Amino acid sequence: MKQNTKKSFKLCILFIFVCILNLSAMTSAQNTRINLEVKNSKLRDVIWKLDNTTSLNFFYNTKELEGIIIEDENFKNTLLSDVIKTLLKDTKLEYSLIHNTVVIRKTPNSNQISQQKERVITGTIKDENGATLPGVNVIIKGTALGKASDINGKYKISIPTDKKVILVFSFIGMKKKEIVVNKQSVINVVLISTSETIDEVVVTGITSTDKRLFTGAADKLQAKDIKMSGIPEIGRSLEGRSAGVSVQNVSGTFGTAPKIRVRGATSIYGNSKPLWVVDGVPLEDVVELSPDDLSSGDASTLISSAISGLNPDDIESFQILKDGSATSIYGAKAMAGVIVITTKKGRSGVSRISYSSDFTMRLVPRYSEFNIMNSQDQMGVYQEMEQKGWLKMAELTNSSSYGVYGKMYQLINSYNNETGQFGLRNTPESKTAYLQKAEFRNTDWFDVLFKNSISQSHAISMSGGNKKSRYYASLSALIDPGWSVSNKVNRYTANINASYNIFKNLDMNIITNGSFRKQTVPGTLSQTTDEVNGSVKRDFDINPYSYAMNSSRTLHPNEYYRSNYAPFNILNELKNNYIDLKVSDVKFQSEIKYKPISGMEVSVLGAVRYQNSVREHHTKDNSNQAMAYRSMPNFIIQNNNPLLYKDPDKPYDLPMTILPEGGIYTRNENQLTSYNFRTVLRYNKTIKDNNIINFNGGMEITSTERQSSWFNGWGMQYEQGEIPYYTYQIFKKGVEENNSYYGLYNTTSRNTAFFANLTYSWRAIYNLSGTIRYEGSNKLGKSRSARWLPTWNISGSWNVYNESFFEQFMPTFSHLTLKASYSLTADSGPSYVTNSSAVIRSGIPWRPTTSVKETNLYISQLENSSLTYEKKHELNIGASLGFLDDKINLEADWYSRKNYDLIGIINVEGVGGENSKWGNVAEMESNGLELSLSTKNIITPNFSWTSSIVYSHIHNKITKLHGSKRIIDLITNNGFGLENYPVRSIFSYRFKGLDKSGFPTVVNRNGDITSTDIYFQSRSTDYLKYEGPSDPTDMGSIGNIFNYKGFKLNVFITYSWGNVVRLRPIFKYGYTDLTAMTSEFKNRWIQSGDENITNIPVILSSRQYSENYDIRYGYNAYNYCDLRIAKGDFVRMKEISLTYNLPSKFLHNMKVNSCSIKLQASNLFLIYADKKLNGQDPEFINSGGVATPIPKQFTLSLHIGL
Amino acid sequence: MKRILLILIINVLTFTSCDSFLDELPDNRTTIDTKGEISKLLVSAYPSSAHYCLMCEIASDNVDDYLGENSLYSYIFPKQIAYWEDITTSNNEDPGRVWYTYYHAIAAANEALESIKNMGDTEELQAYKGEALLCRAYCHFCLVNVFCRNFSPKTSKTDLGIPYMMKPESTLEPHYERGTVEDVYNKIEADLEAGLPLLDDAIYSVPKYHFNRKAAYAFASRFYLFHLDYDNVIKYANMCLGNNPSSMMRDYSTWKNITRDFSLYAQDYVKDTHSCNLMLGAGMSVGGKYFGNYSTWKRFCIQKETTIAEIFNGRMPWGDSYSLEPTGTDYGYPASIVFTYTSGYTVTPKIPYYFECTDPVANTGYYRAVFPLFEAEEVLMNRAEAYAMKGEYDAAVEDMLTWQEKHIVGGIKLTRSNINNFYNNIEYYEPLGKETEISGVTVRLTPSIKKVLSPDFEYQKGEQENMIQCILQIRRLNSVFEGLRWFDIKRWGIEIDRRLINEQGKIESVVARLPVGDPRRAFQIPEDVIEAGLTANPR
Repeated sequence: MKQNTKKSFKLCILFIFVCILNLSAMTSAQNTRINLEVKNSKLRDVIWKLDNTTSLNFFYNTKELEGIIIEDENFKNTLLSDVIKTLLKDTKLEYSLIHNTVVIRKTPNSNQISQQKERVITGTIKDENGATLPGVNVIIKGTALGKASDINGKYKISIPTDKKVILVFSFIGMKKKEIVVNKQSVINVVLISTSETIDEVVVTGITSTDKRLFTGAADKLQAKDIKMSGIPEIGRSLEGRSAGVSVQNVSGTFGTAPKIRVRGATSIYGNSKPLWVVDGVPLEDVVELSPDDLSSGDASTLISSAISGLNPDDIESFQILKDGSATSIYGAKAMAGVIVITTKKGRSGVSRISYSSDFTMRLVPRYSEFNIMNSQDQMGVYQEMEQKGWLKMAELTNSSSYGVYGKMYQLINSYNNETGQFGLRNTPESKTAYLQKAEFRNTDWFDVLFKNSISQSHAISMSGGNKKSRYYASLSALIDPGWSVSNKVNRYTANINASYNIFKNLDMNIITNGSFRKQTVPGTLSQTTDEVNGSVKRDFDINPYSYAMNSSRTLHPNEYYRSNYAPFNILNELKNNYIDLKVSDVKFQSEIKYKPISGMEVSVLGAVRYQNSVREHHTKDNSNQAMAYRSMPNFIIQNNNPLLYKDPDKPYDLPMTILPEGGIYTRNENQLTSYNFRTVLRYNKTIKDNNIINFNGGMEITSTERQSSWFNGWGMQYEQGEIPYYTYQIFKKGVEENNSYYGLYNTTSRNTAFFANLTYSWRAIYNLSGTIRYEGSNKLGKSRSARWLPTWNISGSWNVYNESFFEQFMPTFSHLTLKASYSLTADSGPSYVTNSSAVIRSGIPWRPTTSVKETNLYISQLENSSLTYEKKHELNIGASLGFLDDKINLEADWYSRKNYDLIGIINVEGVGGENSKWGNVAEMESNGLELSLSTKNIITPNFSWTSSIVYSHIHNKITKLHGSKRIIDLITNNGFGLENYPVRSIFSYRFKGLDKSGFPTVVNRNGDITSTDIYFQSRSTDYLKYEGPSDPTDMGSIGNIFNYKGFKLNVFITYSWGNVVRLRPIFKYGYTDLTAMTSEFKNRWIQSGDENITNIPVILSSRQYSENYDIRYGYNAYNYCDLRIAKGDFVRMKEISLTYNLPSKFLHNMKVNSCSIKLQASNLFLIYADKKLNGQDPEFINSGGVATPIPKQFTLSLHIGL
Repeated sequence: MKRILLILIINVLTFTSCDSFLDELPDNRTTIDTKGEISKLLVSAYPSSAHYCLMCEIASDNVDDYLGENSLYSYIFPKQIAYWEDITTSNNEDPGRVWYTYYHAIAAANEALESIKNMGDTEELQAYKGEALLCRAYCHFCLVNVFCRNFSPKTSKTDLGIPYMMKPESTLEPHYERGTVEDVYNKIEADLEAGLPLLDDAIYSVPKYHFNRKAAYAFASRFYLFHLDYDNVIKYANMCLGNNPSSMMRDYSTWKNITRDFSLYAQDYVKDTHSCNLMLGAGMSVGGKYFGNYSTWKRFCIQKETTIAEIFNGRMPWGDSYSLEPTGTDYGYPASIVFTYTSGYTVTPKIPYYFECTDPVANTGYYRAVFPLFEAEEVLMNRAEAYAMKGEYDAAVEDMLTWQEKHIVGGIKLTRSNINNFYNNIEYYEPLGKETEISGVTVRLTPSIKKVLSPDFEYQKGEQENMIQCILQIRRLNSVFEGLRWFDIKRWGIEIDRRLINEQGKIESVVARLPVGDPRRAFQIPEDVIEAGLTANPR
């Protein structure tokens, strides 16, 4: 039986090729004349030689040629057909020539056939999308007789009439179909492609393994199954799809990476992000960002996603490698898991052109989702503030920022010469009228700053192939006019993947990828932590989302108020202060595969990738940020404006502006050049049918060069033809303050690795596999012993379902595989710890005057000769089970990890010059459970319903970590780890109620209850309350797919729980008339006694504040107390989509193979979330800058295949 | 099979070339292999962050406690220092920062020395080698005087020293032994003597922030003074001061041209162009505020009563106090430069206040200050003390007179006899002042400037003590806000009383006392360092 399938497989291939060659043959090969001398050679060798030296292709069954020896023949300038005829003369073989393909086969017993009565069956073969399939093998079951379908998918076959005939239709990648022939003479067939067929292989990027022999925990996801329309970045669609993989959309802005974790955090200070491998080549990030950086909203996050240059339509599949058995082939890079992306390739005999497009509309957020005060309530609070002395005319008119009150005072003060009137009369009536107008304004900032624009994406791809070559090429364009008024992105990608079969045993594959992105986002500076006051802040933040959340609804959208001592209007600012980002990314890759002997393959892969991103921050002349640098309308402001420059050499002069004209042009450029070279030797052998041996071994060299540079162009006159105008003081100030106006930073990371993997299997029932990798990195210094690290794994699996005794349980119990692995993998730790040799950097030490300045070199990190990789031991135990003939499938994995040699900080004796040092001193452990259940609930020809449930639980704990972080790092949204707590934990001050004056009180480091004596830089932490981890502990998804005829309904729900979220820090010692408050303020402390009924602190009077400025610490501590925390649990309606595949009959007339329309709603609503969040998305970290949440959106998709 | 062999051979060949492939440095860090790089590395061989000055000043007898716990400025850090407690709070100038700052500078010096050795120790590198040795010696000298007991012929053989770092640290968590104070002094002397002849002022672009020759001689004179080697003190002081020490004294007359503004005077004080400033050190310090007209930490500072009695306005050998206000023409010490404010503290423009703004909008950044590390006046007094200890009183008085002429406006000219007269006729200091009956009324006199000296070495009562008393007083005036007084207190075995000052600015009571021989005279080594395993000072 086995022999038979092999044979038919070969024949099948043969027919495909014959068919193709029918079409493409151009020369009349049979006229070729050749010279050939044969002496006592095997017929097989002679044919092989002919195959290689002529343009003809030969097809034959090796077995049939076995043992035939050609003794002595000498051809001179003989017709090729004659040569073959002579060679086959005394054999039982015949040949036929179809164009330039010679098919050699056994002479059939002619008597048998001719005596039988025959009839002809014809038909058309199509795939499920209605596309015709050429080259499909059609065989009469039980014989070797068969035909292949032609270019139009039509076939014609003669069958004997005297017995029952079964036709077998088979094609690579399609499910085999058998049809019993009755009376009919036309049999049309639809073949269904099987993802299972592709599933049979586990792709590790470096190699691929038969799934039955695979021993690790891995998940394969087909891009078409998980792709979410309207989300141009494919990484985000992994959310909830694979057990153990968490995707947290900390920002939804295009280009920012979501926080992806495979089995949770693997490092304390490192970034714990998985390794992306695309078509076998590890993808490096152009900037290395820590998890905190990812959620910072800084402009650098826009280039944090390594895969944002990939067109989702080009991706065939994801393979997520979770445990060490698969990842250890990547050794010291794979501690945090590996996600292997395989892009689409052309297939032999399938010519396709397909077009797909998405049209996405995003919903504008509404105030009703949040608990922000309307303008009436807000005005009420302002009135209280006014009474409390905050909004006084004299102070407000000279303050750095103001809203309606300040505007009112300004109007009162401004006298118009022409009309002879003041902007506003200084009478109680006119003031009341002015404020009343504001009271009823209820500006909808979301309406002002967001729009329902349609984002489009279009992708077109062509693919095709024949025996010699295959190709896939695509182009795509994403045109997104932006959700908010200041966001815009266009991305174009191109991809070519071509393979050529040079010789029978030599294949070559080339891949070229390119993408270009042009993006505009609101101008932003970097986020900073003010550890003194205990707050995280960003200067000049104009992020539309946070502006809408934080700005008073009493403001008029077209009016100019004041910010940073200069006039401010958000729409004007967004127009005049923005970042242009251009990213281009190209990759060239080639692989040559050579098979010297049967079962052995040597492959050589080389890839070069270059990415360049240019970020230009335009702060134009009329922007508030530029004007703030020259705002000095009066003496008081001139003295107070911190952006003005006081020349230390002219102590009697008033502060002056360093930006008298123009704006600021800031340019950041990041470049990445990476080289990857790998050779792999593969050897597969089956000994005595039962013993399967697979060997992979090879070496890899990678080199990644990163360059970042920046430049600050002061005085760019955007309005004056882009001519720079600057003062020399800009440089003087820079020198005095140790600020450079440009910078350059180069890094090179180099790796070399040797790896080998050996798998032994007995009849694919018992599998044993081991991998070892020996890796060296330049990061670990010149010490030749420290830089090399061996990583390894040992694993095994037992395919119980292949055992003979298992048959008795079938089909109720249809599948059972048990797996276990134990491994060591590693990671080189946070990118800034590289002190295997002393790190000496250059700087400019502070000196009082420029005359005594000099540059220096200083030891930034002392040598740590024992610096090594962060390491992880992992035990994984898994099972996959199938019930009811695989109608129910369950994959379960349990793992336990011990991470050691993690980078942490320790205090040392300090004698070397550092009090605390980074070193491999920390440890953590984690364990988790992963379950994936997929069920085929109802399968009928017209209707089907399938479900999938994914659940994973992750638990981790730091078991060893000396040295502690500052309080401020532990209480904010990202949290941080302490020994015996999870890696990312959030802590809180303990709230002790309001005191008699309505001030919030918390417990401080001395155990006192206080509103003032709070020190955010303290490192003692025992008095804080542990709230929980900031990363969820449980997560997953529930998906249901319903198919009815051409309709497909997909309902996909994601969920996660177990983490805590810090509520927005909205409380302050004082507020301005720009502040938008939440409705919590309605319950604030107003009069004595209220402390018994409310926990919302009083709005301070300006006198109370000036009596004790330290009260501001109390208000900040209140923001970070145990009241201001919510559970991060949520259930999200992630996707509802309805797809309609147009019926093929209808399409056939239009010469279209397939056509589908899909309507999808994404992120519609949260089914459950903690009420305390009041509309705050538990996944999204609202850090301003360029961060925006994932919007609610509707997408219409169209797909046409020709 | 041949093909496989070939592949294997290729792989082996690539393997052997891998190590050199991985030798590429991961980033733009520098390796030290040129003369220029060594010279730049040595810029960071000087303490650049926390200096000992602030800590030592607060611990000395220059400060008293204004209002105690009732003060509005009750910060824990200065209080712990002032009461000689072990420091448990963190601050930019706490013992931990001082420890780290000086050892960090030593690390740079050692790295430079290592590189010089690797580069063949050539002739052209000798000047840098000299500088590195001086830096290493100086930083250890500061550390040993802050964290250990003073040099004493009696106990230094057993007193705990500090680890003397001779090469860069290369492992993560090495453990060190502290050795003895004598060890440390011997090693400092070795480095100093080896480095001095190698120095070359021509290699410095900003000589006053480096060990120029004069600064090095100044250091040598201080070192030998502390080491009780008086001949060497005189030798190096002579080399530093030359034939005309008077010309190296601070010239206050230039202040006539400066607008009367505290910060401008202070900025002028630390100008590198003054010949009296031999070496300056920039640092991250709140000193500019603490030693300036700001409320910062003013619970502990030179209080009104202290300055009236003991510092700027006390009864001195050259006469009683002089006008506090500038006379317009006479600029001298202390006449024109002492600013006393109503709340009771005294400041003198010396340590300028700078703020390095890193975030102009939030107005956050670093406090910066410049400290005069070596001044000609101190060298002169080192020499005077050495002369006095050798019994050469005329020479000692001559040096004092040189100082007096430049620093004191008017007053009685110092001579051997009037110094003797003055000190013979005043009582020893009593913390609350002596009660005396004047015309039937009991009054409390201000405490005197003459403190009981109980050093570990021999000296004679009478003229020798009188000379020393006078020199110590000049040193105290001269080194105010520089922290050097603390070392004089240690060397000369002076007891300190920490006194409570009441709202009227009057001394009310003695709250704490630091007796001679108290182990707290050596600051406790930093908490973290003890936790990491280094032996703590006895308490």
